[in-house]
Amino acid sequence: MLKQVHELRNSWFSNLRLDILAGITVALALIPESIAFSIIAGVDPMVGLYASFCIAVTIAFVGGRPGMISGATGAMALLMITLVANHGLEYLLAATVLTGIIQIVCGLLKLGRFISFIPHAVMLGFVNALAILIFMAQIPYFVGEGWLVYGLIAATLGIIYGLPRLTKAVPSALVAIIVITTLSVAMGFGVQTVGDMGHITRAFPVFALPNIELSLQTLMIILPYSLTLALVGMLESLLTASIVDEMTHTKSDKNREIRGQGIANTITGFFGGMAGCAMIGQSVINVKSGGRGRLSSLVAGLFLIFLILVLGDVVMMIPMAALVGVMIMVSVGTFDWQSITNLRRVPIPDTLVMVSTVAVVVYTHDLAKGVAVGVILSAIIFGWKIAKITMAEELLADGTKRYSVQGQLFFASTSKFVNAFDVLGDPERVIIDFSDSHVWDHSAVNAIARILQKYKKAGKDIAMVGLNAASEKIINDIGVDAPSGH
Amino acid sequence: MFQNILLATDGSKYATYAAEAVLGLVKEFQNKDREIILLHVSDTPPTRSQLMQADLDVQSVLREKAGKAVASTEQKFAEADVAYTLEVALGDPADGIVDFAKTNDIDLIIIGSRGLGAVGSVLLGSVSRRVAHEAPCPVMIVK
Repeated sequence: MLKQVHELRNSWFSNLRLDILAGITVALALIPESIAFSIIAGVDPMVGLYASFCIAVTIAFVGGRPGMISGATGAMALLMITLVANHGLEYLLAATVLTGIIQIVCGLLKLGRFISFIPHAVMLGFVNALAILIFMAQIPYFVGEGWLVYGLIAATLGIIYGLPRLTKAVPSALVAIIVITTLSVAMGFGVQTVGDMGHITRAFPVFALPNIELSLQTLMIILPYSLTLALVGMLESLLTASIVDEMTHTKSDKNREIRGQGIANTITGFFGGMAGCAMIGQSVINVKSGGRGRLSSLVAGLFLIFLILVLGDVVMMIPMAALVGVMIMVSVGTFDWQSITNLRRVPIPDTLVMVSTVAVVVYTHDLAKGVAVGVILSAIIFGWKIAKITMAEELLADGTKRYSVQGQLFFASTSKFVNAFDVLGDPERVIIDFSDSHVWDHSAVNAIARILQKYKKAGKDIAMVGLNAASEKIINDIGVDAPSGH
Repeated sequence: MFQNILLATDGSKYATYAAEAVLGLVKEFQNKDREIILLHVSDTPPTRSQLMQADLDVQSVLREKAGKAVASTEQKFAEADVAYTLEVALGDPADGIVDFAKTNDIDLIIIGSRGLGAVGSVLLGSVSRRVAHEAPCPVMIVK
């Protein structure tokens, strides 16, 4: 009990002053992206702002990585576009709740470590597609909007990339937005603003059940979205947690974090926010500003809603051009430029998977489809590579014939294995050498059984040598005496 | 390299500490047991692909990055046949150096007077100045 009190105090109040200051800085850095990602998802700016508020506050209590910041993110927003466009906001809220429930289950089942089973090439493709989609989502806001808008975007980018060379004390994206908004209001530019995209409600979010029909049909609509959202949210959160772990020299509780992300998303869905996850950029800002404890995330969330309540009207005056500038920065920062320079070093199949994933996403505007194609393609390529076996035959001095199997023996490679044997032409004694092989499944054992059977029928002696322990076990378990009819 | 050493002193408390440091330094550099640690602090977090290829092992990504950044230094140490260990950290460089010194009982930090950002250091108050200010031990800034 005493230990728990001590731990509680440690994770909340050991770093009071810096946690509060860092939280305030992070809240400022949350505003531009929360608004911009809402617009990308096709919902009111409040949906993203409420999401960042709810998630940051909830995660402060239930997360497994103190000091990490979570909120509305681009990776998640992009997964929602088609759902919002086809079915509307209420389905998004329901999908957000379901995403949370899936993540809670994953956290309880301790599935976090399996996340790295997604092939790297697919993840690379996903990340690059994400960057391209964020950029493409900006195009409608500036193409053909005239030189004033181009100028404002250029000025935003100038401040975003220029300011950090002078000072890193304030988030440059926020300074850019303040400067461009002030300029635009003072000069009366009359360009498109956040206010034209939707309304900023100066109010706390309220609890409401998503207004949807509770039916199997609804579930089938939202489930695919929720599954991808849950998966991407977990992956981003684990990536970010590993970075925060390293920066703070402390360990995080990965499964508690995943469960925490789930609880946060469930609550967010009921309070009118969209699904979110950990944010790499904001978490790094938090730690660099001295934020270490749970308090930093709580302060970030509370200060964010305070800003909205006080400055809601000002937020509506932010020109879209300034947000477009911020999003272009996010897009450039998200794209994995190394994957381009590495193209020549990476094996061609991996490149094929990465490029296919990107191409499918960009063509369908659906990240989930891209990931699915990437995973299937990876599996096929892997299967094709691993299904290659070679059979060597050799006549030994004592007249025995030896077949040596090289490669993995499983359903995809059994036919080549079976066809290699010449039962009638072989001498009286035959051995199969499995030293360089592994017997994986039922099909493989059946294939072996069939071969043994054929030689026995022909009245010839056959033996197996060099089986490793696992192969021997599966053969004994299934049995090779009587093959089941295949 | 350090033939003529100037010890500026006014006889005050800290000047006496400085004198003790000079004596300690002269003695220590004849001592084969002293340990030299090269510390490389990375300012920018690894990319998603780097993290994924390393199975979320941030340390190994940082090590690879550090290995590239300080290859020439490592070669100099090897040529001089001086043993050292390479350590890495992620975060703000000044914080990283000071933290490392605090947690590892470091007795002396040696750092270059300015880093890669020539413009930045003039305006920012460079890393070396912050390290000198916040370190728990003597700091030697090399010009």
